[in-house]
Amino acid sequence: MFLKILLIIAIGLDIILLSIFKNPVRNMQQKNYKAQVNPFSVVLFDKNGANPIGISPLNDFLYYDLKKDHFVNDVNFNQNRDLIEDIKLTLERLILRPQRLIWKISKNQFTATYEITGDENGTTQIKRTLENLPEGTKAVGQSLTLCKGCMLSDKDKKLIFLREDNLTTENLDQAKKLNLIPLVISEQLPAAVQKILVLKPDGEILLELEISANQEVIFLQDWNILELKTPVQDSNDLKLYQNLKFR
Amino acid sequence: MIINLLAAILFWVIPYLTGRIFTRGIVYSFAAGCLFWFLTFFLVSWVVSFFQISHFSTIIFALVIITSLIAIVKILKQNQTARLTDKMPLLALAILASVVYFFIWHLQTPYPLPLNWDIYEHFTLANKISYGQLSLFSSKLSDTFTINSYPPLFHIILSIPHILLKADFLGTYFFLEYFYFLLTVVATFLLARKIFQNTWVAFTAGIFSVFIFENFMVYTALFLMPQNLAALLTVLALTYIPKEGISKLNLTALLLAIFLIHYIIGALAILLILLFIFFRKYSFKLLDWGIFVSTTALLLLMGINYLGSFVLTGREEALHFTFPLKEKFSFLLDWFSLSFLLLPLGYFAILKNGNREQKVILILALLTLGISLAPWSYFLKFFVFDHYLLSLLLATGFGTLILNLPRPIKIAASLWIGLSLLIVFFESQLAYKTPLLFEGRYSHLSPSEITTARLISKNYGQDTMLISDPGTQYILESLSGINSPGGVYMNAQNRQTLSQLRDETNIPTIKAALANIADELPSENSKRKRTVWVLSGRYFAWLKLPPDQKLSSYYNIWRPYLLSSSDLQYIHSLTFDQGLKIVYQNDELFVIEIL
Repeated sequence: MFLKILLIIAIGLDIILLSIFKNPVRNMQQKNYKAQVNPFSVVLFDKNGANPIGISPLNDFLYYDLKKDHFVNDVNFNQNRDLIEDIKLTLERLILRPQRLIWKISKNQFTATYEITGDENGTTQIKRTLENLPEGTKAVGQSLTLCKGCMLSDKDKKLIFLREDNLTTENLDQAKKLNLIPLVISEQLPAAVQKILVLKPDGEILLELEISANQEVIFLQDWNILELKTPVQDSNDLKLYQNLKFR
Repeated sequence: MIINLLAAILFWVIPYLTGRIFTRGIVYSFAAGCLFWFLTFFLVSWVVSFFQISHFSTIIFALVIITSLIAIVKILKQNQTARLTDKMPLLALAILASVVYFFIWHLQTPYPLPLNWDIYEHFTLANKISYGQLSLFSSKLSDTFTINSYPPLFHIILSIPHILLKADFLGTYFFLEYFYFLLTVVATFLLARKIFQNTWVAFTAGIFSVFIFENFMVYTALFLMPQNLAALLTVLALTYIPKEGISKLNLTALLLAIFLIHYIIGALAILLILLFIFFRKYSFKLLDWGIFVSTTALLLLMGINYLGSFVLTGREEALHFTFPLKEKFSFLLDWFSLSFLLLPLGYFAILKNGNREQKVILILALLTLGISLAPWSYFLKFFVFDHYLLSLLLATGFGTLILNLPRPIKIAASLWIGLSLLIVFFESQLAYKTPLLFEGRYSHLSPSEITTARLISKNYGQDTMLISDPGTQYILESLSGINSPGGVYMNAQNRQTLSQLRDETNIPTIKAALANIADELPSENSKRKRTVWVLSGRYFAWLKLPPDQKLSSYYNIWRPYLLSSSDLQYIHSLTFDQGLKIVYQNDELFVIEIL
């Protein structure tokens, strides 16, 4: 009898584990946005499934004294499964509305775990947990690849930030059309900026992004990348947060 | 909603009542009733056509009332009460199935939104039938049908409640599929109880039936389609065909009805039923040989996959429904996970100790599994029978484990397996639904599209052709009754013409192209005086597909999309700037009339 019970338990566990293994949680849907793990990035979409915002180790930076490097420099990185987390995420999804998405990558010793946590109001936290950081890491650049045609504005939606080396007639016309005053910047946004709005091509607000006091905001307009550079203590592991709010 | 609920009940009840005039027994009566209405609709259609009268639906209405009254009087006179044993397990399964249906499957798909893509072509056909248009060949009624896999028996039965109550097809189908799902679970329970004479095994088989969802190509329990209805009737036939004294007339009617619901699935169904009837008379030794032969057949049919895959029919779509064996196994693991570990236990339990009927069921299960794993295109659809038969075998395997356990442990074990299958089901149905997410709902359809269809239906008639991308026109045609050129099976030439309109702003060019897009049926083209062009988010998404996907009927835009700012700019350039008439607009689409 005992063996039969064990066998029943084992079969049930096998059924559950295989199902979870074959169906990793790769999507998260909230009221105002959805998040999805793609082959080389995590992408956040607005509630209509458009205007993607990308998060990728190929665009995030590690800063050293004299140079900077991406988390990974090519697509040959490992994407790691954590079965315990997968089980937790599946059960959360079954019992509650899905609220977390986890994507873990590694290359050599370095590991980066991206955890997207959201709520019904559109507030999203992107947590980057970095392990086995290279020695001498002075700062981390958390990058967001903006949607094509999306623009950066200030918290009051009066300005549009444009790079001085990217002042085109098209950009200026767009600013005029949307009644926004162009503010020409070099690479960094002004230090006083505490909140940025990302606008859709039609001028509607896509999301708000909070900036911490110690962060530099770098706008790589050619690649449509917005980077938040955060100085860090020399440490093996660390956790960094970005807070967004989708409208 | 109440009308649609009633209509969904009548879909099942009307054929049963009519059939009760001629015979008894639930399955035989339903089958007889289906055949009666099949013949009657054709007869009435011929009569109204011959005598040039336009009261088709009135005549059908009257006939339904008369036959139903006759049947009710007959039933009351017979004073027969139905006995239902094992009420508690059946009730438990019905509650479980209801919870699963409404709180998991339809949790974010509120009434009346569907999750079944195929239903739209059935609505299109049923709609035409309710107006008296009939043909044995579906492709002659609508060019949405490019192959004649079935005569319109299913659609005739579907049109009856619509004629009686003016019920909405969409709303009716929401409840219809719920009742159908319940019936699949009940049918599995009843068959298992008859074959194994064990309530625990039957209950477990019911649990398997609730939670096994084939989320690709098969969709046995959750999608009501002709092939799935044919399989359900087959299972009920296996349950109710007596061991002795089979009425040849009843059996013939039943087999004919199943065949007329779906030719191909029906053909295999007839074979399975006949094998069941004849094999259960054989000796145990012969049946054991039969198990050996069917096991060998299964292995051989699987082995043929190593010779290659074989595409049947000339349809382009057939290529996409041909899979290597490895991929088919992957599907099975998605649907059943490792509950297959119970299969050898069930197999050997039946081989060693099974009675005749149990051995026959094992033979049939192995044969149908082998056929569905064979390397020909579309063959995976035959798995619809294994939804039921494998549930029985897996439940038998589970039954061998809990056989001599104390009752509390039996209950705990059943709950544990149920929980594990719940997770499998959850993942399986989510994998199907995830690509359909739009504005917080899972469906191919949006409320805005329903509203649009109603408006088009009110303002346009048989002289209008509706043109859009295949997905949009498929849906709007079915919900509005306004013809489109091919629906989702729009032909390659029309697709080519439509795709050339991407970014086209010259109005005469647009009008000429739309005028060239024609229906496959000459009769529809001859009626055409107006065109309604629907520019939807789907349409613009379809235009952005790669050329080979635009020409393929396999690739569609499966869910609604909002119009983007560039879509709106394009539409404005045609309408506000150049005067094309907007009939209706919302966030998802513009309806433009072209005269």
